[in-house]
Amino acid sequence: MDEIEEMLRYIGVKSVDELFEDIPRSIRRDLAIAEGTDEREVVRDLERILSKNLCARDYAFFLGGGVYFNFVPAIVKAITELPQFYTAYTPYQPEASQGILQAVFEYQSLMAELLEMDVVNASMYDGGSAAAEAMLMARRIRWAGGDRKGQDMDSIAVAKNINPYRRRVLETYAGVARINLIYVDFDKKTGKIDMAGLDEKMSDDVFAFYMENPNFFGVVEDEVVRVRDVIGDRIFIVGVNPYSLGVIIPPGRYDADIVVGDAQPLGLSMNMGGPSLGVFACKAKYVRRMPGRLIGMTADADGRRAFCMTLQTREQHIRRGRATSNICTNNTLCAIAVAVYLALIGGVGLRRLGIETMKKARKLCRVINEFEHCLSPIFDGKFFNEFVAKIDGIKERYHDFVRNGVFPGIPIGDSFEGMNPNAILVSVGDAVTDEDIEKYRRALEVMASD
Amino acid sequence: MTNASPHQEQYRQARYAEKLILEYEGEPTHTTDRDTEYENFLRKEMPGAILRNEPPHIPSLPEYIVARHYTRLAEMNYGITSGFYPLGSCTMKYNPTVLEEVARWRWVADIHPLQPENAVEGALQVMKELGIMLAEISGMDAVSLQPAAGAHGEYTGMAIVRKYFEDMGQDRNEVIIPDTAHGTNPASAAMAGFDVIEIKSKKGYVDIDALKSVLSTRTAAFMLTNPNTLGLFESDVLKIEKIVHEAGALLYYDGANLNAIMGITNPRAMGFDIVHFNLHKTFATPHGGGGPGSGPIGTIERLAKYLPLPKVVRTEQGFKLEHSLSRITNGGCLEEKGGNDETIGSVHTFHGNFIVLLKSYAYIRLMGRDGLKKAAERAVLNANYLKKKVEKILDVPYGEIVKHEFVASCAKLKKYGIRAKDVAKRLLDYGFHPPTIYFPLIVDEALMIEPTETENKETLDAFSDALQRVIEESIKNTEFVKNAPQNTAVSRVDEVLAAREPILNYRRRKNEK
Repeated sequence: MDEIEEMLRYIGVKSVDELFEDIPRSIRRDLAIAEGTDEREVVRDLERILSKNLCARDYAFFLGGGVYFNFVPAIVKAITELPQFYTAYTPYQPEASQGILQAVFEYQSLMAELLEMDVVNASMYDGGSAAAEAMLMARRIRWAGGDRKGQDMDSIAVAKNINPYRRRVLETYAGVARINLIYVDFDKKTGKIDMAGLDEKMSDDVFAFYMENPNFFGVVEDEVVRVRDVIGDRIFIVGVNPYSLGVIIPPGRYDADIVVGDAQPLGLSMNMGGPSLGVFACKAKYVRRMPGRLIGMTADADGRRAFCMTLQTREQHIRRGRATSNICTNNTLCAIAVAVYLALIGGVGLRRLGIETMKKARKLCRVINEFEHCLSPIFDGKFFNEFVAKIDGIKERYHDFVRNGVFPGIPIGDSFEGMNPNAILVSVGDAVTDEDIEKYRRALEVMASD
Repeated sequence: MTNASPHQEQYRQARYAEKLILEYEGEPTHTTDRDTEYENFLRKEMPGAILRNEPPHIPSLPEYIVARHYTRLAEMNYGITSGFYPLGSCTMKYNPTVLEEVARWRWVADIHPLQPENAVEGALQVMKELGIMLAEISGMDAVSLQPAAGAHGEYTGMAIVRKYFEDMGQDRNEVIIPDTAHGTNPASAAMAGFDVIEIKSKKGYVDIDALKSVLSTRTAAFMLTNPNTLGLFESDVLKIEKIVHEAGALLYYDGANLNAIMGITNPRAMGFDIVHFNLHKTFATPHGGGGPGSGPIGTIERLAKYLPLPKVVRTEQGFKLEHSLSRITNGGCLEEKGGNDETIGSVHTFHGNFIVLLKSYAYIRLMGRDGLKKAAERAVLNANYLKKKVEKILDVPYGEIVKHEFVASCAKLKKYGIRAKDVAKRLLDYGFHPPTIYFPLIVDEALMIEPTETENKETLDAFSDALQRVIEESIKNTEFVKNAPQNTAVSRVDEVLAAREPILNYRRRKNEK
């Protein structure tokens, strides 16, 4: 008797079918997908399908815009491949989950150090959903503040020069939450937020302001230190590229209330855009209105240091319909990867990488500008490691660049009102080499000679 | 092993007094000539107002320190490869290693979401085919892969419900949910701006009269998971479907428990309009200690136009992305939306958690139609077998035949001062991850047990034996159970202390000193 027979007998049924008798015949359905196959076959087939992708390492690769081609040290991958980490569930039983809990507590600590913010949560899905949740949290804070209630404050001011893909998520969530988005224009010359324009948008119904630093054009918002004076006690939400914080002051120093961002550049592969890591931080006084998991330090019964999920009364499994967010599963493993990366390279390493990529970006920027049909950069604001150039004919000739071994950037001409139609966002990750820059030059030469 | 000393269990988790990574001494950094040049460059190129004058206070550690640190942490963590993990509603099945391998490939890791379509053809093909497979498994007409987790899928579904009724010109602002629902259901509905109405269950099932009494022209949707969180299949689902649809509302399927019915029935056959999947549960992509997951949603034809974009379409020229914005180019996004844009928009910056999508694609290809059905059958067999065993030890208040899981109650132990939590902690000492506790809320002192299909009889017997011993100990050796666990990396964690004076990072702690 095999074990299935034995188990059926123990249950007291004759067949497995009997266990499904509560499912009415009228709703039974067969599956019309293919037969299963073995591991060897699946690997072979997937290899055939996926090798059609052009992979960044085989090219001079300059796409960014929120997802960057940065080098990922082998140890980061090795750690996240430890099965005790990647096969575990959310650490509901802290005694058996100290590894994940401590690792995420360390992520919260390292990220807090980088941002100089009081509290960082265990992670959100990505930069876009983190920004959207920040917007919802900001409204909760203001409505709870008691100075204005209900529909009075239903608008958020948003800088127009933020990442348009994140902006799409923000718009989606705002639509659902009946929040009105008021856009703050950017200066067409510098690429930076128009501060006078921001001031004008500060009407009574605005509960928060969201901007990104560096902005989508790669330009650093050096007037960010003045934002607080302009927006008063409205909630100040900043989206950062955490990779830039080795060289740019942390948002904690310019009085940000909530900080979001995407930590993909810190040790995560590009992964077709996901998973990445949604960063979410806030001031301590707002912690109880924060979405997401929080890991806290405590002690065990014997007084040893221990960690557990905490302030769970904010969360869906306790508070249900009145939770601060519905988030449950987040991107924990990515948070661990980012922690490993930061521990390995340290603050000094991050600063060096920041400067290195800034230097390479400037070098490439000059190379592009040497060409007659190009202008680079088109904004005169100082940039971090990506910039907007104009390359005439770029959209039509994009595939020629790829054929010449170069992914030249992200055409953004259609993305912004009044933008030059040949504008392209060129990003320099730290996996980019000097040879890659030379390849770019040669591709431009080919283009110019046609 | 009769009258075993409580300290004689086999299981021992590693126990290190492992420092925090920030407590390690970093390697001394030597400033080189290059650094001086770098700093000069930076001061020229970064406006003074926002120049960070000094590097962040994060030590740089040698790789061997980092490797040992995290290896020790991993040894203090229980995963699927450590042992049985019957965490109810979480479908902790074994994750085939090959899924990890394909996710590491350079054609997967090193591709950017804004590469032109013909440069990511393989990725688009995987997404397109996965969408088709999920549509088949659920019976739905269209699928979006964007949501990054189950709750994210629920939110997306609720956003669609909202948009649909707005377009219909109907003012429906209520979502009905059974009291056995996952916590994310009410949270997602509320986040989408709905008022949540909870109805009480009757003998563990949806109380049709209670449902009828709250259904009205204000009802937008009824959210249900079937089998429900008690592991019971709602056999009256077609009656539920009828009255919900007659009231003009939509029916939402929480796919957390899909593992029990694959190849047997599907949400469409049950009359559902919107479905979310939990790929990290049903389709074996690992859960990553709390994510990344993936929560695609599927809808019937009528609602398909509201699904998030971009989505992959197959054309004669190959796979393309269809965007919400008419003039979008590679990488662009317009100021204004196109005229006929009915999509709710986007819920993820790019295409969702592609890696997780790929792993579930590989899993479904491995399993195939028979494999998925066999998985459902074995999961149900295991649950019923284990239930029969556990019934001899504890009260299982609901269900004769269950599907993928069942809920036992530890209420009878209360007179000894033992709670479900104590039982859970003691199970850890025997090397088992405990079931979900205190959920669903309608069972007093609940242990929610989901064995999944990737366990054999021997494991189920061993778990049931361990549970038996824990119950005996609870009566005879109460203090000991209350002081469990002892064999894990730490003993009972003081969660009250953690919440009373939250220490949420090391930086904060330093400041307090």
